[in-house]
Amino acid sequence: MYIVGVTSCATGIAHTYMAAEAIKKICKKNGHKAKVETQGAMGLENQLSAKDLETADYIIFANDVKITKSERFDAYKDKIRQTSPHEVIKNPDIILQLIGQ
Amino acid sequence: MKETAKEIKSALLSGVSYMLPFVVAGGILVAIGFAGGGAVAVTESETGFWSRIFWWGKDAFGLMIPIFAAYVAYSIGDKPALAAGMVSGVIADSIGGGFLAALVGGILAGYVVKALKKLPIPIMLKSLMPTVIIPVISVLVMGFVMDIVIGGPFAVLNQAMLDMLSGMSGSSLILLGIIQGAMLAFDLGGPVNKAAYAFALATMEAGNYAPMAANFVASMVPPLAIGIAMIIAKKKFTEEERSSTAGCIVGAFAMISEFAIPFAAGRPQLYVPCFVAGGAVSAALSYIFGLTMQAPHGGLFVAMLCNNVLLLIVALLAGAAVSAGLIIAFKKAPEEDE
Repeated sequence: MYIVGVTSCATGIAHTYMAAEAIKKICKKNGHKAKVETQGAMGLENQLSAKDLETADYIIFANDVKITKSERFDAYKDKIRQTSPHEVIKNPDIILQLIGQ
Repeated sequence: MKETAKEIKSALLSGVSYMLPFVVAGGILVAIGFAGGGAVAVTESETGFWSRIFWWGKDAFGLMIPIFAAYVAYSIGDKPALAAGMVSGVIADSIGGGFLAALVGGILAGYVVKALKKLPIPIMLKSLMPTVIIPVISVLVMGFVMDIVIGGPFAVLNQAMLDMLSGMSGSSLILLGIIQGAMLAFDLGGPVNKAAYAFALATMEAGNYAPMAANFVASMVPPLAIGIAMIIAKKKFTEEERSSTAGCIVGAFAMISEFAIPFAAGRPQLYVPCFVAGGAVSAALSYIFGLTMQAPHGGLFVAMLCNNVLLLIVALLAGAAVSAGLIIAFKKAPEEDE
């Protein structure tokens, strides 16, 4: 499967990137392709393209701070699964639960 | 109900997140101005090298509350809520309602805009909604709410909080320090830490600088404690862990607790209690010493804005020693660790 994600946290220097790593790691381990956009203190990095959103099977939101440019996701509401960066870091398996595995 | 609580929590974190660069830039420029030109001289003049730096810092700092309220509102009501939120923040500032009023104003502005968006509107007027109707009505409503409805009560509430703080002494101050320090060290820059930080900012904005001093030391304890523990008990840490020793110590001086996160995330059951204990000790000591801090961020780089730099360092080192001691006592060497 193709999993894309967006992570953010209040300060935007640690949890944001750790959550992104955790998502990529758990996906790789389970044979899923993953791409994660980080919305940290440097703004949007590794931005998801329209094609990413179109082809993704699931979109994981692990955000403390409101998602920037959230209108991009409006058309894909049923693909979105919501969690928090803290939860993902503590228990990466949550991703598998969210995508029903 | 639960959804709303989540939405408000996310709004608070968004507000703090967008506000931080203003706080840091403002705080540090003010400190540089003070350090170069002397506190009295720079505040009295508006020209001259150091005075200009000081006032630029003040300008950045002055945007703190409007930006905070703006992005609280933005988080709830999206782009159309930005204007009403920012105006609410400016009014919160001018009525002396401070951070608390700005938070409530931002939340209300967000929901006012959210409600306006749902108004049934004839199709031909649709494009007037975001361009004219929402901005005008939401700012009008929030102006009324902030100025006339909640302005008075919040100014009173803010004053009451300050009076209570300045009336606190002895054991109640120590208790406040323990709670504040524990919260700050608990999740290292996460929501609990930011809630405690918001409290210190709110009181500082209103003219009581003691909680910010406690905030400084307790935020600096976790990375410093890790650094110290790695220097003293080399054998208890892996090569890889110790490569971050210098980073942790510099991070501590810059007051970035996040440097301790890689450790806490790996073994929270060991590190979090150690950090919380040290954070609580340092914050309580800060209150006992009567420390004040006039910058909102910046760590030891703005130490000259503290009323007693020596005691600030004592409180910091005492807290770090407690945390480091606990870590060394309870952590096993890497081989038997897993």
